[in-house]
Amino acid sequence: MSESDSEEIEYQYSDDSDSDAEETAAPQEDSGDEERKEESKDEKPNPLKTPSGKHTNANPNAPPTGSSRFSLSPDYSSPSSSTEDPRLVPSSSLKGEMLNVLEEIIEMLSIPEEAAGALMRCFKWNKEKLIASYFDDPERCLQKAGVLKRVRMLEDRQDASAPTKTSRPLTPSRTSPRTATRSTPLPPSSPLPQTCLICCDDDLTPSEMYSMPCSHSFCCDCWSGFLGNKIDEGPSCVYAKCPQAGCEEIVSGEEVKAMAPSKISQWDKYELRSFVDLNKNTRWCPGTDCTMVAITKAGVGDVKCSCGTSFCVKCGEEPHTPVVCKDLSLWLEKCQNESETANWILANTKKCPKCATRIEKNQGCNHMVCQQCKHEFCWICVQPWEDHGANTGGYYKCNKFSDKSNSDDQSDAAKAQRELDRYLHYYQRYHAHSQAQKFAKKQLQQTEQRMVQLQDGSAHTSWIDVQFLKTATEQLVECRRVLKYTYTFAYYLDPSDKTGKKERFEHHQEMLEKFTENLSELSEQSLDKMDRTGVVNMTRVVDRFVKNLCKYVEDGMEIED
Amino acid sequence: MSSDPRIRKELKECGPDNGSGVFAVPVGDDIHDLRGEILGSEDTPFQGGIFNIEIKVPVQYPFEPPKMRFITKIWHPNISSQTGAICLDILKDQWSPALTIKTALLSLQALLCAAEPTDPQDAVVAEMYIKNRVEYDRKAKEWTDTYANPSVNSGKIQRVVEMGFEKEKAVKALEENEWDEEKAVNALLGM
Repeated sequence: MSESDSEEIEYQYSDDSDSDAEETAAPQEDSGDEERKEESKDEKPNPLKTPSGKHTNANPNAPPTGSSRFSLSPDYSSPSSSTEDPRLVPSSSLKGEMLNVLEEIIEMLSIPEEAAGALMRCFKWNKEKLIASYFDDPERCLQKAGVLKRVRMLEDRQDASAPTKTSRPLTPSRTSPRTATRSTPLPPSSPLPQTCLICCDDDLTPSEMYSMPCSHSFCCDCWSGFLGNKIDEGPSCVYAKCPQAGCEEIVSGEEVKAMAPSKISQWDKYELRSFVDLNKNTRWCPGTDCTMVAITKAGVGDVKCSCGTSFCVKCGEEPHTPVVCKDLSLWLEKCQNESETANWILANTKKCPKCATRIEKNQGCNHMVCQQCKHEFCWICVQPWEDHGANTGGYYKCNKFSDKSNSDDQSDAAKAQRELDRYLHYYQRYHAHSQAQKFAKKQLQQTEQRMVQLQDGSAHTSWIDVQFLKTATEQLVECRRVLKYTYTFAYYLDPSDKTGKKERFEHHQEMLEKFTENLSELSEQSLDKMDRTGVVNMTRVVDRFVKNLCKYVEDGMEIED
Repeated sequence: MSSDPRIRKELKECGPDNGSGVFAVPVGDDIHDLRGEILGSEDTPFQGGIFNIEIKVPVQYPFEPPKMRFITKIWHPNISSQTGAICLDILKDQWSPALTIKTALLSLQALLCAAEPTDPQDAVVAEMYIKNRVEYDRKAKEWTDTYANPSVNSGKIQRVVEMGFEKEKAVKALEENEWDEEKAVNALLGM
């Protein structure tokens, strides 16, 4: 990274309001990272890293954000940080997380930060994919992300102003990005009035005009209206392009800061939101009003949020071992078939095949573009749109396909009936355990009161001595949860399997059911009959059994016993 | 920012007889409620047709696209044969505030010449367009003559109506009988 590069990146952030306060945090965090050490010799604070520094200090329990994901630094502050995956971060440190990812791209590709953001969005925050595409064809890659001019302009600047070092990289460009500045417009351009193509005002001075790196000039009022309108439209504003028809250059926070400063906080929010939404390794905590975000390296795993919500990072549902996310999603959809709302959803919407967002088609053609992930697909067959076209026989092939499946259904009415019966068998049991889980959760709320009573009942009993009751009830909730999902899992096991997997699984399931009922009975005993040893032992046995069962399924249910 | 000055300016430039084959005028006093007109291009099944377009200009215009719909019935893969709804990218996500009502109308005129059957609004029309282009051209021309051309078939309709039939029934009978007046009248008379 060249000297001028690093200066320019810092420039973009030098007005960051957090930077002063975090000055002290940054150097601490940098210890151990050689590359960063070099940078930290620079006297200016480097706010690119500060948000994570802030987070490390403010939340001693949480792992340091970002840096553990990508940096080379072996360890600092919290020893568990490098192994904890998935981990939870508050939304206030999301910006640091995002900048951490961007920083790497900025260094690697020598591009401005605003361009890096758009590039990463374009590749859905998949760094490997972006880098592969970039090194395959940088021009095309930058064009695709709508940042070609922005990157080229920076390069031009560096060439032109290398000796003076006075240029700011993302200074709003005037008529010519290379030479024009706010204070000294070029002599030939100053006397000519300019026209704004949006409001059609043809008597504008150059200083009333503004353009993105693509040099398409519009008046400042129109820019402000345009950006404000885009941001008011919602999260998709981060994909806004230059107002010039056909121009592919993408709008960045730089333009918003310059032309619609009152909207910048909203823009930043949408930018972070898209960072979490597009990224397959991040997920908002589904808890009500909770703004924590789970970040994972592996893309899978269960977390328990500080708000009390446990969820699977991959699909956002309650942790659901032994069932895989895909089967769970199928199952839940099936189960909700009964309700009116679900019926409407099924009748009128389809899931985006990529991100599973529900889409209602209320107008327009069959060429769908998901608002959430920008995936393009055909409404009829839900296949990628790129597979459609004149050479494949056109869109109407899809109609034929659905006709065919309809007729199949009709001819197999008996089979469908059998399938329904099979489903109901599993559903009834799933539902029973689901209810039992809810009941156990209620029981858990009352447990503390019972613990107090139990302690009061005997003179020599300490608070620690009655903890077993809480542990047992928590285990009970866990058992009900796992049992519930064993029925989902069993439903999706191949019924024609001849290797005995299904039988073995059902045997284990039955055992767990028995243990759970035992534990339930023991822990619900009236206090005067409470068998402490019995409960403690049963809790331990069941805990072990549940863990083994999940592991057994994870390992593919091969015969060991 | 009010969009009114710009709309007024645009209306000045795309009034009747501006020579471009398209124009737009306000329906009443409200300059956000316009009526557009497109002439069907030569060497297309729409030749000779005059197509009326309903144009609703939103308050946020030009940051949001004008809403357009064909009032004149038209047989085209990207336009609904029932409602006149249009599937054209620049009227949706590809709209740019630097575009104008006139450029949008010109794009519609271009769409009439170059259909996009793989991105259809009307599946029935699109299927015909791909599978049986000759039949498509015939039907598109028939619809143009029936609904968009005041001179050709309107004479036939007029004559049948004068014989005492309702206009709707007359048009239907003529359509079903390939615009043969005699056959249509026979059909109407149940002969």
